[in-house]
Amino acid sequence: MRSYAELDALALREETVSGRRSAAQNVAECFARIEALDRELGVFLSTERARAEQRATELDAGRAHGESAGALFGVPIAFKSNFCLEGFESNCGSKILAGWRAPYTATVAQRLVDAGAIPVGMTNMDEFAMGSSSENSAFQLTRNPWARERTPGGSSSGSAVAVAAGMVPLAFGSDTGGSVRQPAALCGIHGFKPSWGRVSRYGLVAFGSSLDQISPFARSVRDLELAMQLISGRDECDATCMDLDALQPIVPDDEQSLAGVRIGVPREYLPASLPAEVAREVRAALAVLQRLGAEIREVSLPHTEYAIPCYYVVAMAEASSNLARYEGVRYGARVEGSGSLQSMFAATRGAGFGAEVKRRILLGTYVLSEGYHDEWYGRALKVRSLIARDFEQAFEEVDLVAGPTSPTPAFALGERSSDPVAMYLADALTVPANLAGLPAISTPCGFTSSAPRLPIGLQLIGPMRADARVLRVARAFEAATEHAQQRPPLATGAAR
Amino acid sequence: MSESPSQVVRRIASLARLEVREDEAQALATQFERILGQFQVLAALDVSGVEEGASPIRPAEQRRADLPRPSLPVEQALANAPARVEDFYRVPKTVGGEE
Repeated sequence: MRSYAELDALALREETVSGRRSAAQNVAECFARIEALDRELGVFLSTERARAEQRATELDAGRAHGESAGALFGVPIAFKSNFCLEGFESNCGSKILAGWRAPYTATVAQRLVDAGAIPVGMTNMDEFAMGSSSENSAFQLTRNPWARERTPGGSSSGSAVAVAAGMVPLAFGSDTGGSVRQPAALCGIHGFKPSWGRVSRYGLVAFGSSLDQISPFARSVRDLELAMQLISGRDECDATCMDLDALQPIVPDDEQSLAGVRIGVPREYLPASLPAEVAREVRAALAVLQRLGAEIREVSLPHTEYAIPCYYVVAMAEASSNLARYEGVRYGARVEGSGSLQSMFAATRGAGFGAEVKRRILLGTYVLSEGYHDEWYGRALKVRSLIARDFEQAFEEVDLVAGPTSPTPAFALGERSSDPVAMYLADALTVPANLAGLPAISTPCGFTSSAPRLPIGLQLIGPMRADARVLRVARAFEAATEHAQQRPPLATGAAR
Repeated sequence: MSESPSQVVRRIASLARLEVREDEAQALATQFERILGQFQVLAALDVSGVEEGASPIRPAEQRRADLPRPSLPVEQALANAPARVEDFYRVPKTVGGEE
């Protein structure tokens, strides 16, 4: 029998439904692994063992009485700490929300629980999802399981490592500018950002509302497809959630053939400055796709160089508005200030937010302020249209666009933490899909050959609503390669 | 209008209701100049005739029926309040105070 940590969600569910395992056993093995590894990796901000055990007992009892088993029956899952689950601590990696327990449950989390999944805890993240390394968490660092002195990426750092280290087969994050795809690439797992509007954001703490999208991490593409089937679709609590047909996986006659699929490689995504190892592995991945029958063409996304400034202006503007709600009145920490209401707001926010969040709130306020709005925010929205138009034109010629997910493999913790601009550049290849609202995946495509051995991710971006197409091509690539089967070196007595 | 960079930071901080210490304001002023300097490339782009793209798709046309339904019970809504009096959030005096 394969061990808990080796199984993907579908296999774990099958073994549990067939009676070879129980939900209670899955929870026990999940927590054994967390206990063995979490001190070193810093994945969880809080765990909910008693709740998870109770839920497992209920599921096992229901099964014994003949109740039907949901699509994620008995599967432990984890959430980034910006999801609301009633009674769980959703502190967003911020001191200002330390101890805050959500009074209601996000639509996505409820749908997963209804399918039999068992939430085990809330994972570490850069504060309010602002960061690319975990270093902006107010509470702890998360470490890359492939090399402990390196970042796992961010901002959904803990959820990525929870999956990469085999603590849970499936975890959820949010991707505003690459916060799921970039850590997936740096940790050697799959991460999928759906089309904006495919998944309800109700119960996800808002950062940049026109960019945020709930996104799953998994160790197999089929698990991502399953997760997407469960979480997609209209929600009366989110008016921006599209009324789409359920996302069904496309199962072609020959699953591995990509005959007829045209894949565009933007020349801007493979610049001369790209590290040789990243370029080499991405080119090798393109050769695999070609061998599977895909036609590889060069395309151009000419406004790529404007994506980072455009993204940051838009995201900071939206963040400055969304984070106005943290003022010490309704929830979270409060600092009284000098006695007036206004001074209480300012003192609470000054003490509660970390440096990067303050920087973004202030820059966001600046680009929206009188006299600067048109020059900055208004102009960035126009550039956003140009970036979206680039993709529309490319998709007249090709079915998907491919390139690296991250310009570099995992960088050292501390290497960029004092230089915000260097940190922002980590997102250069992921933010365009958020600005245009497009579905995109990061899938493992190789490793560095120099020590330490670090994973490299291939990014596939599809047209709006073509989520199933992106997943299908990633699945064919996964089946033709062994990159996604590689596991990080973890010393654990609990790995059984 | 010739505000110094740290004056700009303090004015914006006041608009954002965010207290910044003197040393923070100095550091932020330097970072503002560097970050906005990098973002100046946007100004060089010709965007005449381009529409502003505020959101990838239009929000759904359908709306749910506008009917009353149960909302969070008071106890639950107030469970995370930093300070409360009976069924209310307690805040400093707002009328007859400053500003």
